Amino acid sequence: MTTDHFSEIATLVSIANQIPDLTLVSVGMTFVLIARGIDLSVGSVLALSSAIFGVLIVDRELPLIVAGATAIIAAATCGLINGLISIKARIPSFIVTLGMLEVARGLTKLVTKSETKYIGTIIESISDPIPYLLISPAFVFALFTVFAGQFLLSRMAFGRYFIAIGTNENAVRLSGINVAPYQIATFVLCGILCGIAGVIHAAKLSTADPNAAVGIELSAIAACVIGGTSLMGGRGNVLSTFLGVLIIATLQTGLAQLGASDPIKQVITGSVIIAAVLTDAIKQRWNKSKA
Amino acid sequence: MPSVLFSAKNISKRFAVPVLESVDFEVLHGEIHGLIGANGAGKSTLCKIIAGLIHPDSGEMQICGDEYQPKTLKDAMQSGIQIVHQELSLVSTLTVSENIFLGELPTRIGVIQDQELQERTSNVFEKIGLTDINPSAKVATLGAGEQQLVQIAIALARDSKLLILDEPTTSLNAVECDRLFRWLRVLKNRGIGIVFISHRLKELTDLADRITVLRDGVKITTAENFSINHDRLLGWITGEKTKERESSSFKSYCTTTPALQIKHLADGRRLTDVSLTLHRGERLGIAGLVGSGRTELLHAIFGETADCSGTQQLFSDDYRRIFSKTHVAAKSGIGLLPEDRKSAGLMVELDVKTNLTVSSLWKRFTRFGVIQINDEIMTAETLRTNLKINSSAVSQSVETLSGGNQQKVAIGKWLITDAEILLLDEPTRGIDAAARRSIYDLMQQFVSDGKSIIMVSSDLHEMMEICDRIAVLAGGRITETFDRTNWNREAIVKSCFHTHQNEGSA
Repeated sequence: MTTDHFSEIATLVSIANQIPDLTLVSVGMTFVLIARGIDLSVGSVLALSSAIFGVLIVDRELPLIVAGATAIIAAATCGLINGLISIKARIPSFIVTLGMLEVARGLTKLVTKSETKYIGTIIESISDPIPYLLISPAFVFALFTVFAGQFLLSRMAFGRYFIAIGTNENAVRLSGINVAPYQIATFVLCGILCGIAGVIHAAKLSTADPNAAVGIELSAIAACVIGGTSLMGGRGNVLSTFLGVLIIATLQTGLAQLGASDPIKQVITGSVIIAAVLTDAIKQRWNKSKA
Repeated sequence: MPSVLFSAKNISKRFAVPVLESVDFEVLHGEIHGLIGANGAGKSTLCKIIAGLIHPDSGEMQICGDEYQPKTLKDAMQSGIQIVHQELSLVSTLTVSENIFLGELPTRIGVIQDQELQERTSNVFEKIGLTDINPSAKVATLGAGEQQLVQIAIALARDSKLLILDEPTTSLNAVECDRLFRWLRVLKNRGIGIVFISHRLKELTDLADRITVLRDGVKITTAENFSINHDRLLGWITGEKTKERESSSFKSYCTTTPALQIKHLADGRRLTDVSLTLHRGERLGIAGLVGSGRTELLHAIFGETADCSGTQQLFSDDYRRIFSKTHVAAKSGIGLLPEDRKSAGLMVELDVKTNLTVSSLWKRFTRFGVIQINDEIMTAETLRTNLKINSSAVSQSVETLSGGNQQKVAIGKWLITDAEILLLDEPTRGIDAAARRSIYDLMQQFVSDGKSIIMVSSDLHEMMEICDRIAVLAGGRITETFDRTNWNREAIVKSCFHTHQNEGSA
């Protein structure tokens, strides 16, 4: 295949402008996974946020900022409910968020009356490339989130406790720490990031699509795992998750350029995820046996 | 006189220290053989060796006159030796018969043949003389005593010549015990040999034909039951001639000012009514048998157990309450060193620094939620030097440290929070003599500032060396308290066993 310099840059730019929503969701997922939870509802919560955002702008003619804030608060509430129920009632977050996946998708369809809402061009500037700079404000914000997320995880007390709780919840509680607020916080953070991702997603397509981001939870978990986040909690970092997002996005774009069909793309992406987990497992075991 | 069913000769086993030293042990056909000794005397190790779970360093065993060298539990089972552990391992949602034949359910194309299962169960019950349990009842609907019977029935459903019961009565009430004993006598009359471990003297003297006493890994005696009274038995268990090891380096910092007063503490499980007073500068030891609730007591004080009743008064703030959350207890100046440092005391995969500062991160090392890394490292380094924690840096993972150093890290986190009261659960278990000494020094330094310690240890020598007072926990209550003027090892051990005696006769 021959590609000239210009189309290489064009490809990179198009990837960069494709990934902000997946990046935000994956950062949120990283927090939840590190504290030994999982959030399967991210796709639906993203869609709900984007639906609320669209409806408030188009039908209620509210200002952008108010619509955006409401959408994000709604998404954060979904996260709070996920966290409260799974932590306080000690139900595996896998089940609770599976339920929320249905609930939020249903609410999305109620809000949009199951129709794709065209919002118009007023929000396109969020996701459109900045002239001459080629990248979009959304991508810049996603990058900022990645670095802020990494700072929270490695330098702030909250992040330290996420990791500590994921490593050994029992020991943290017996060290006199109330663990529940931290565990719930991971779900709320994830909800907020899904909410922002929803707004960005709506801006990208200028529409609020009730079927937006179906299955994004798999890509997000894959990005985390490829980046080395442990599904057993306690291990992971946001920068590596971003690397995972880039790998997945590049793979998808590359395969598309090579003319691979959607089913083939699914098979290959899935195989890469399994290979990543396998490599990680073997590496862990090898480290253990060495120690 | 019946013939010998099982014999073991010169059994020795070391785990760093000798646990069993040339122990001889035999069981006759149709004999109930009691096995007793204080905590750590080697009873469990001996039973595990017989059951193939542990391999002896030396010695030989025979069953029915044949050489017997079990490599695994399965070998032991095939030779007709069945062990029933203290903890039940039943599937409570299945029926009695399904539990009994769990490994070999009669099926036809995958469907369980209920009829056949019932028949087989009835046959087994008949064979082993268990008549009053409904085979189709769900295990969850049975009482603790009946579950214990089912657990034993599972062992007996296999070919059994020798049955080992490790403290089968700890969770049973008097009626349930009676029922178990009646059945054990039936089994005995059918020629099965039974090894029966218990801490309750009365049970042993009622039930056993002979009793073997172990102390510190040595067999003291095997005696015919009719020749034994409780006082003699206690003498063997405690060792009447044991010299008290008064430590010359002991210095008391105990004051008469109370630091913590606990009244009528109950957790609805093991603890029924605990009252005690801890003074400033005091090291208070809690003695008691395994299962007497020592760990549960520390957990209840630290707020790890929900739904406790009673009151705790901390004299630092004069406020009476009961803790139901660990973070409230920690905030009030209490710290806990859990019994199992790897699963509960430390985050072993993380580094020394993180483990040291986990309890005090917000209070001492953050500004606007951001960790002040330099502060944190400096404090951790200082503590590492003071406690002589042997690691290359505070960024080393705790996993790679020795047991003694891990323990220092687990205690160290409470020194940063300025805890006033430390609860130490088996602080020196599994660590070497030098590290032990440094833990004692650490404790001494802690109380010299007027702070207080409650310590639980199975090693009575240790507690007598470093504690100001020793309280005996038995039957869910503090039954007796000894201080340095009136204690001796025999009296304390006797006190630990005493409640069991009274319980049995009550």
